[in-house]
Amino acid sequence: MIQVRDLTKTYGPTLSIDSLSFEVGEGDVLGFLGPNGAGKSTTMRILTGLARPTAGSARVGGFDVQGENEKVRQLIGYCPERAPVYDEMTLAGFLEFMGGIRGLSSREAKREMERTTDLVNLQNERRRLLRNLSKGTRQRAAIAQSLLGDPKVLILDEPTAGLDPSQINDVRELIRSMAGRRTVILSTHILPEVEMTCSRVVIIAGGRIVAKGTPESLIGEEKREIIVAVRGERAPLEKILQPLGSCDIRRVGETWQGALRPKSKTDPRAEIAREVVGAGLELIELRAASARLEDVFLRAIGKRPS
Amino acid sequence: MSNFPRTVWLVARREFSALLTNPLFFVLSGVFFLLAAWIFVVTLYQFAQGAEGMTVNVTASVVRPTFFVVHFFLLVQVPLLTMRGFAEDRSSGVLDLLQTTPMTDWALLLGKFFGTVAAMLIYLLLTLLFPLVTSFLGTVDWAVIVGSAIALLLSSAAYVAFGLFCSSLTESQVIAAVISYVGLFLLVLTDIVIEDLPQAWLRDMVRHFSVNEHLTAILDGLLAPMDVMYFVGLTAIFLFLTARWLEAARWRA
Repeated sequence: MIQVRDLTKTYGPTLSIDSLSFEVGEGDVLGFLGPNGAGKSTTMRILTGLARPTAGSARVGGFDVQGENEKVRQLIGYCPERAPVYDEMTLAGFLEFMGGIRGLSSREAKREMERTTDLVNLQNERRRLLRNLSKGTRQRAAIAQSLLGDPKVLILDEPTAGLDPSQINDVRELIRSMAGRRTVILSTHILPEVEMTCSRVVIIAGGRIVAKGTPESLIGEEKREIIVAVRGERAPLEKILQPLGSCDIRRVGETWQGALRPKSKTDPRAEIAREVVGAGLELIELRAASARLEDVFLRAIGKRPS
Repeated sequence: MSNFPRTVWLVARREFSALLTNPLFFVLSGVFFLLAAWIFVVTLYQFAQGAEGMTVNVTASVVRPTFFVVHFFLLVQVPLLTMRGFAEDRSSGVLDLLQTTPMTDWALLLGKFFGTVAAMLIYLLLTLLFPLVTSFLGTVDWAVIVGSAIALLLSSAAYVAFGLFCSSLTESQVIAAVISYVGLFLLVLTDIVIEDLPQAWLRDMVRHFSVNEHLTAILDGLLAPMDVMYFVGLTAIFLFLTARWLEAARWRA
C-alpha cells in the first residue's frame, strides 16, 4: 500500500532524512520510531503531500505522492502532531465540516461524525465548543477527524500525545482494531504502544533507518542478557564472565551483579553456576533477562539499554 | 471537481461564522458604522443649515462624502479581518489538515474570500441606511447611490483578496495586517504621491494603478467598464497570486 524508495529531504544544509526505503503492506500497522528530530514527522509530511522530497519517491495506494497528490489525498486520513482543530466550532460542527470537504454529503458527514465520535468515546462532547475541551479531548477530536470517511490509509503523528492512560488505552484498542482492514502508519515515542499495536516497526535515527521488521523479529534478534548476582569478590566473577561474552559488572547492594551478552547461542547458565560455586562465590541470582523493544530501540539509536 | 462548489460553500460558511462569532468583527463594524453615522449626521446638519460651499444636491453634498468616509473605514477594517485568513490556519496547523483533504487550494481560497466578503457586506448594507434616511429629507439620485454601493462592494472584494494574499505569506497575523495596510495605502495614495512627478507620461501611467482614480468615477454613479475591470482585475490578480503561493508553500516545506 505504501512504498518509500530512497527518500531524502534536506532543509538548506541540514539533512532531515537520508535515503529512507520501506514498504507497508495493506492492513499493516507500522510503528515509526525514533528520537526527537529523527525525521519521523518529515517522512509523514512527505507521504501526505505537505512536503516535497529532495530526492527519492513515495507511493501511496499506487499513486505518486508528488505527481498524483490529489489521488493520494482521497486515500488518506491524517492526524498531525499538534492535533489542530477550529476552536470556535463545536466538535460535531468541526467533524461535519471536515467530512464535507472530504467529499461526504451532509447526511454522510453527519453519520460519519457520529461513528467517529463513538470510536473515540466523545459522543457526549459533540455539542461542546472545541475551545472548551481539554487537550486530550481535542487530540481525540483530531483522531476522529482522520477517521472520517473510513480512509484506506491512516497517518497518525504521535496520536496519543497528551492523553491520559485510559484514553491512551482506548486509542491503542482503536488502532489495533483496524489491523488487517486499514493501513496505518503511527509515529510515537511510547514503545509499549508499538509492541501492543503494530505489526511492523521502522526505527530511524539521524534521518536513517537503523532497524526494521516485526516487533517479534526485532526483539528476537536482540541478544538476551544473562544476569548473575554473587556475594564475594568482583575479580573471580569477571574472570568467569569475560570469556563468555561482553559483560558489565556493577555493585548492587551487597552483591556484584553481572549482565552478560553471550557470544554463543547456547545457554551458558549451567556453566556459570558451576564456575561461580567452584570459585567460592555465593550465587544469589542467575537468570536470563528477556529483551524488550525498548532495548532494541536504544541499541538501534546508539544508546546502551539500562 | 464536482465537489468544488460544495467545498467552496462549506469553507465560506465556516469563515463567515468564524468572523461573526469574533468580537473583533462586531467592535470594528460597530465603531466604524457609528463613526460613519456621526459624520453623516454632521454633514446632513450642515447641509440643512445651508453651509457654505455645499451644493443644493443632497446626494453630492451629504451621501457621497459619507460614502468616501465609509470607503476609508473599509481600508482600516479589511486588513484586521483578513489577517486571520491563512495566517491563523497556518500557525494553528489547521492548514496542514485542510491541505491533506481532497479539497483543492482554489476551493479553500475562494471559500475564505466569499466568506469574508459576505461578512463585509453586513457592514456595507448597514451604510445603505444613510441614503435611505436622506431620501426622506430630499430627492436622492439613486443612480449615484447604486454606483457608490457597487464601488464599495468591488473595492471591498479587491481589498479582501489583497488581505488574504498578505495573510497567506506569513504565520503572524500582525505581520499580515501590517503588510496589508502598507499595500492598501500605497494603492490608495498613489495619485497623491505622483502629483509631483515631472514626467506627465509617468504620472498618467501610475495614475491608472491608483484606487482613487477608478473609485471616484463609480462613486459618482458612472459605471465605466474600465473602472469595474480595475477592481475585478485587482481581485483576480491577488486571488491568483494567493493560490500560487499556497501551492508553492506546500512544495517549499
